[in-house]
Amino acid sequence: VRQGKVFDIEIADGDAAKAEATLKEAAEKLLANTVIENFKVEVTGPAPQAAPATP
Amino acid sequence: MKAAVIVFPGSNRERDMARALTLVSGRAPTMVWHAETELPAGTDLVVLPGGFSYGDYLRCGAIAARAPIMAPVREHARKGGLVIGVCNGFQILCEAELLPGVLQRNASVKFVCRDVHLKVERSDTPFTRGYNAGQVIRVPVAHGEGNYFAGEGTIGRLEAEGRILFRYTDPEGKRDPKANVNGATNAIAGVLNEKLNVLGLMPHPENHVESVVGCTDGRGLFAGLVAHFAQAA
Repeated sequence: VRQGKVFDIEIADGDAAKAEATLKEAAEKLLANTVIENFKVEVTGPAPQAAPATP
Repeated sequence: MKAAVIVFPGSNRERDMARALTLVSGRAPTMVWHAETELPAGTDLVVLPGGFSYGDYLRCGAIAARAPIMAPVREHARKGGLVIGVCNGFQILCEAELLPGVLQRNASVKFVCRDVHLKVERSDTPFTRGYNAGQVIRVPVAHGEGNYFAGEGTIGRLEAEGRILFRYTDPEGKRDPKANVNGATNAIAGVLNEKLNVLGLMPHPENHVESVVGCTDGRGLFAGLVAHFAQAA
Protein backbone atom coordinates (compact mmCIF):
# COMPACT_ATOMS: atom_id res chain seq x y z
CA VAL A 1 0.00 0.00 0.00
CA ARG A 2 1.31 3.43 -0.87
CA GLN A 3 -0.20 6.50 0.65
CA GLY A 4 0.56 10.06 -0.24
CA LYS A 5 -0.63 13.49 -1.22
CA VAL A 6 -1.01 15.13 -4.61
CA PHE A 7 -0.74 18.88 -4.97
CA ASP A 8 -2.05 20.49 -8.16
CA ILE A 9 -0.26 23.82 -8.39
CA GLU A 10 -0.74 26.45 -11.07
CA ILE A 11 2.18 28.74 -11.79
CA ALA A 12 1.72 32.01 -13.67
CA ASP A 13 5.16 31.88 -15.33
CA GLY A 14 5.01 29.79 -18.54
CA ASP A 15 8.64 28.55 -18.40
CA ALA A 16 8.53 24.79 -17.66
CA ALA A 17 12.12 24.50 -16.42
CA LYS A 18 11.67 27.42 -14.04
CA ALA A 19 8.35 26.03 -12.85
CA GLU A 20 9.95 22.68 -12.11
CA ALA A 21 12.76 24.29 -10.12
CA THR A 22 10.29 26.37 -8.12
CA LEU A 23 8.12 23.33 -7.37
CA LYS A 24 11.10 21.20 -6.36
CA GLU A 25 12.13 23.89 -3.93
CA ALA A 26 8.59 24.11 -2.54
CA ALA A 27 8.48 20.33 -2.10
CA GLU A 28 11.83 20.21 -0.34
CA LYS A 29 11.13 23.19 1.91
CA LEU A 30 7.54 22.57 2.89
CA LEU A 31 5.30 20.19 0.98
CA ALA A 32 7.21 16.99 1.80
CA ASN A 33 8.98 15.95 4.99
CA THR A 34 11.98 14.24 3.47
CA VAL A 35 12.74 12.32 6.68
CA ILE A 36 9.87 9.98 5.82
CA GLU A 37 8.54 11.10 2.44
CA ASN A 38 9.87 11.35 -1.09
CA PHE A 39 8.35 13.38 -3.88
CA LYS A 40 8.07 13.64 -7.63
CA VAL A 41 7.43 16.83 -9.57
CA GLU A 42 5.66 16.66 -12.91
CA VAL A 43 5.10 19.70 -15.13
CA THR A 44 2.06 19.02 -17.27
CA GLY A 45 2.15 22.05 -19.56
CA PRO A 46 -0.02 25.12 -19.77
CA ALA A 47 -3.26 25.13 -17.87
CA PRO A 48 -6.43 24.92 -19.95
CA GLN A 49 -8.08 28.25 -20.71
CA ALA A 50 -10.65 29.13 -18.11
CA ALA A 51 -14.13 28.33 -19.36
CA PRO A 52 -16.16 31.43 -20.17
CA ALA A 53 -18.43 32.40 -17.35
CA THR A 54 -21.94 31.11 -17.87
CA PRO A 55 -24.46 33.89 -18.04
CA MET B 1 14.03 33.11 34.63
CA LYS B 2 12.55 35.09 31.76
CA ALA B 3 10.43 32.72 29.72
CA ALA B 4 8.55 33.34 26.48
CA VAL B 5 5.68 31.06 25.46
CA ILE B 6 4.98 31.16 21.73
CA VAL B 7 1.30 31.17 20.78
CA PHE B 8 0.29 29.89 17.34
CA PRO B 9 -3.23 29.85 15.96
CA GLY B 10 -4.47 26.50 17.29
CA SER B 11 -2.11 26.27 20.29
CA ASN B 12 -4.20 25.08 23.24
CA ARG B 13 -1.76 24.23 26.04
CA GLU B 14 -0.09 27.61 26.32
CA ARG B 15 -2.01 28.56 29.44
CA ASP B 16 -1.16 25.32 31.25
CA MET B 17 2.46 26.04 30.38
CA ALA B 18 2.24 29.66 31.58
CA ARG B 19 0.61 28.52 34.83
CA ALA B 20 3.34 25.95 35.50
CA LEU B 21 6.13 28.43 34.70
CA THR B 22 4.56 31.08 36.96
CA LEU B 23 3.98 28.65 39.83
CA VAL B 24 7.46 27.20 39.84
CA SER B 25 9.58 30.20 38.83
CA GLY B 26 7.50 32.93 40.49
CA ARG B 27 7.52 34.92 37.29
CA ALA B 28 4.87 34.90 34.57
CA PRO B 29 6.18 34.22 31.07
CA THR B 30 5.57 36.60 28.18
CA MET B 31 3.07 35.24 25.69
CA VAL B 32 4.44 35.87 22.20
CA TRP B 33 2.21 35.73 19.13
CA HIS B 34 3.48 33.71 16.15
CA ALA B 35 3.46 36.72 13.82
CA GLU B 36 6.00 38.62 15.94
CA THR B 37 9.47 38.96 14.47
CA GLU B 38 11.42 39.23 17.70
CA LEU B 39 11.52 37.73 21.18
CA PRO B 40 11.28 39.96 24.28
CA ALA B 41 14.74 41.32 25.18
CA GLY B 42 16.59 39.11 27.66
CA THR B 43 14.53 35.97 27.04
CA ASP B 44 16.21 33.00 28.75
CA LEU B 45 13.84 30.24 27.77
CA VAL B 46 11.53 29.82 24.77
CA VAL B 47 8.65 27.37 25.08
CA LEU B 48 6.60 26.02 22.18
CA PRO B 49 3.41 24.66 23.79
CA GLY B 50 1.10 21.85 22.77
CA GLY B 51 -1.98 22.10 20.61
CA PHE B 52 -2.88 21.88 16.96
CA SER B 53 -1.04 24.81 15.42
CA TYR B 54 -2.60 25.83 12.11
CA GLY B 55 -5.07 22.97 12.53
CA ASP B 56 -2.29 20.44 11.82
CA TYR B 57 -2.77 21.24 8.13
CA LEU B 58 -0.27 19.64 5.75
CA ARG B 59 1.57 17.89 8.63
CA CYS B 60 1.69 18.49 12.41
CA GLY B 61 3.87 21.51 13.06
CA ALA B 62 4.80 22.01 9.40
CA ILE B 63 3.27 25.45 8.97
CA ALA B 64 4.13 26.71 12.46
CA ALA B 65 7.77 25.82 11.75
CA ARG B 66 7.73 28.48 9.02
CA ALA B 67 5.96 31.18 11.09
CA PRO B 68 7.71 34.58 11.41
CA ILE B 69 8.54 34.06 15.12
CA MET B 70 10.57 30.96 14.28
CA ALA B 71 13.41 33.06 12.83
CA PRO B 72 14.24 34.66 16.22
CA VAL B 73 13.59 31.32 17.96
CA ARG B 74 16.14 29.73 15.64
CA GLU B 75 18.59 32.54 16.37
CA HIS B 76 18.01 32.16 20.14
CA ALA B 77 18.83 28.44 19.81
CA ARG B 78 21.87 29.12 17.64
CA LYS B 79 23.28 31.40 20.34
CA GLY B 80 22.84 28.63 22.91
CA GLY B 81 19.55 29.86 24.41
CA LEU B 82 17.25 27.19 25.84
CA VAL B 83 14.20 26.03 23.89
CA ILE B 84 11.56 23.48 24.92
CA GLY B 85 8.87 22.10 22.64
CA VAL B 86 6.13 20.03 24.25
CA CYS B 87 3.85 17.82 22.17
CA ASN B 88 2.90 19.98 19.17
CA GLY B 89 5.92 22.10 20.11
CA PHE B 90 8.12 19.00 19.67
CA GLN B 91 6.54 18.40 16.26
CA ILE B 92 7.26 22.04 15.34
CA LEU B 93 10.92 21.75 16.41
CA CYS B 94 11.34 18.65 14.23
CA GLU B 95 9.67 20.34 11.27
CA ALA B 96 11.91 23.38 11.81
CA GLU B 97 14.90 21.01 11.78
CA LEU B 98 16.00 22.31 15.16
CA LEU B 99 15.69 18.66 16.21
CA PRO B 100 16.23 15.58 14.05
CA GLY B 101 13.53 13.07 13.14
CA VAL B 102 9.78 13.25 12.85
CA LEU B 103 6.69 12.37 14.91
CA GLN B 104 4.61 9.84 13.02
CA ARG B 105 1.09 8.63 13.70
CA ASN B 106 0.89 6.49 16.84
CA ALA B 107 1.48 2.81 16.12
CA SER B 108 -2.02 2.12 17.52
CA VAL B 109 -3.46 4.63 14.99
CA LYS B 110 -5.43 6.03 17.95
CA PHE B 111 -5.21 9.25 19.92
CA VAL B 112 -3.78 8.39 23.33
CA CYS B 113 -4.57 10.42 26.45
CA ARG B 114 -3.28 9.01 29.73
CA ASP B 115 -0.46 9.08 32.26
CA VAL B 116 2.82 7.47 31.24
CA HIS B 117 6.07 6.71 33.03
CA LEU B 118 9.27 8.26 31.78
CA LYS B 119 12.81 7.40 32.66
CA VAL B 120 15.03 10.44 32.98
CA GLU B 121 18.17 9.27 31.20
CA ARG B 122 20.56 11.91 32.52
CA SER B 123 20.46 14.72 35.03
CA ASP B 124 23.40 16.82 33.79
CA THR B 125 21.32 19.05 31.50
CA PRO B 126 19.55 22.32 32.35
CA PHE B 127 16.25 20.54 31.70
CA THR B 128 16.79 17.62 34.06
CA ARG B 129 18.99 18.89 36.86
CA GLY B 130 15.89 18.80 39.06
CA TYR B 131 15.86 15.01 38.71
CA ASN B 132 18.27 12.14 39.34
CA ALA B 133 19.59 10.16 36.39
CA GLY B 134 17.52 7.01 36.09
CA GLN B 135 14.59 8.47 38.03
CA VAL B 136 11.12 7.49 36.80
CA ILE B 137 8.47 10.21 36.63
CA ARG B 138 4.76 10.05 35.87
CA VAL B 139 3.33 12.63 33.45
CA PRO B 140 0.40 12.70 31.03
CA VAL B 141 0.46 12.36 27.24
CA ALA B 142 -2.29 13.46 24.85
CA HIS B 143 -1.46 12.99 21.20
CA GLY B 144 -2.28 11.19 17.98
CA GLU B 145 1.12 11.63 16.38
CA GLY B 146 3.92 11.05 18.86
CA ASN B 147 5.65 8.04 17.36
CA TYR B 148 9.23 9.28 17.11
CA PHE B 149 11.10 8.13 14.05
CA ALA B 150 14.48 8.92 12.54
CA GLY B 151 16.85 7.08 10.23
CA GLU B 152 19.08 4.40 11.74
CA GLY B 153 22.17 6.59 11.52
CA THR B 154 20.42 9.41 13.36
CA ILE B 155 19.09 7.12 16.09
CA GLY B 156 22.58 5.65 16.54
CA ARG B 157 24.03 9.13 16.90
CA LEU B 158 21.33 10.22 19.39
CA GLU B 159 22.04 7.14 21.51
CA ALA B 160 25.82 7.49 21.34
CA GLU B 161 25.76 11.20 22.17
CA GLY B 162 23.34 10.79 25.09
CA ARG B 163 20.73 12.94 23.41
CA ILE B 164 17.75 10.83 24.39
CA LEU B 165 16.59 12.55 27.55
CA PHE B 166 13.29 10.76 28.30
CA ARG B 167 12.13 7.25 27.45
CA TYR B 168 8.77 5.52 27.94
CA THR B 169 9.19 2.77 30.53
CA ASP B 170 7.17 0.83 33.09
CA PRO B 171 6.87 2.29 36.63
CA GLU B 172 10.18 0.61 37.55
CA GLY B 173 12.07 2.21 34.69
CA LYS B 174 12.26 -0.93 32.58
CA ARG B 175 11.69 -0.91 28.84
CA ASP B 176 8.39 -2.58 28.02
CA PRO B 177 6.64 -2.57 24.64
CA LYS B 178 3.36 -2.05 26.51
CA ALA B 179 4.74 1.11 28.12
CA ASN B 180 5.77 2.57 24.77
CA VAL B 181 2.44 4.38 24.26
CA ASN B 182 2.95 5.40 20.66
CA GLY B 183 5.44 2.87 19.31
CA ALA B 184 8.34 5.35 19.24
CA THR B 185 11.72 4.09 18.01
CA ASN B 186 13.76 2.97 21.06
CA ALA B 187 10.85 4.22 23.24
CA ILE B 188 12.03 7.79 22.72
CA ALA B 189 9.83 10.36 24.49
CA GLY B 190 12.21 13.34 24.46
CA VAL B 191 15.35 14.28 22.53
CA LEU B 192 18.00 16.99 22.63
CA ASN B 193 19.80 18.77 19.80
CA GLU B 194 23.55 18.49 19.33
CA LYS B 195 24.37 21.39 21.67
CA LEU B 196 21.93 20.08 24.32
CA ASN B 197 20.06 23.41 24.50
CA VAL B 198 16.93 22.44 22.55
CA LEU B 199 14.57 19.81 24.00
CA GLY B 200 11.49 18.28 22.42
CA LEU B 201 9.20 15.89 24.30
CA MET B 202 5.73 14.50 23.70
CA PRO B 203 4.52 14.23 27.35
CA HIS B 204 3.22 17.21 29.32
CA PRO B 205 5.28 17.87 32.48
CA GLU B 206 3.42 21.20 32.83
CA ASN B 207 0.28 19.28 33.81
CA HIS B 208 1.87 17.60 36.84
CA VAL B 209 3.11 20.50 38.92
CA GLU B 210 0.35 20.85 41.53
CA SER B 211 -0.56 18.37 44.26
CA VAL B 212 -4.25 19.10 43.67
CA VAL B 213 -4.07 17.04 40.46
CA GLY B 214 -2.47 14.16 42.34
CA CYS B 215 1.09 14.29 41.06
CA THR B 216 3.91 16.81 40.96
CA ASP B 217 6.48 14.81 39.02
CA GLY B 218 6.62 17.43 36.25
CA ARG B 219 7.80 20.10 38.64
CA GLY B 220 11.43 18.98 38.55
CA LEU B 221 11.82 20.12 34.96
CA PHE B 222 10.80 23.70 35.77
CA ALA B 223 12.56 23.77 39.14
CA GLY B 224 15.73 22.56 37.43
CA LEU B 225 15.53 25.35 34.88
CA VAL B 226 15.02 27.94 37.62
CA ALA B 227 18.10 26.59 39.43
CA HIS B 228 20.05 26.63 36.16
CA PHE B 229 19.34 30.31 35.53
CA ALA B 230 19.81 31.29 39.19
CA GLN B 231 23.27 29.75 39.06
CA ALA B 232 24.08 31.41 35.73
CA ALA B 233 23.06 34.85 37.06
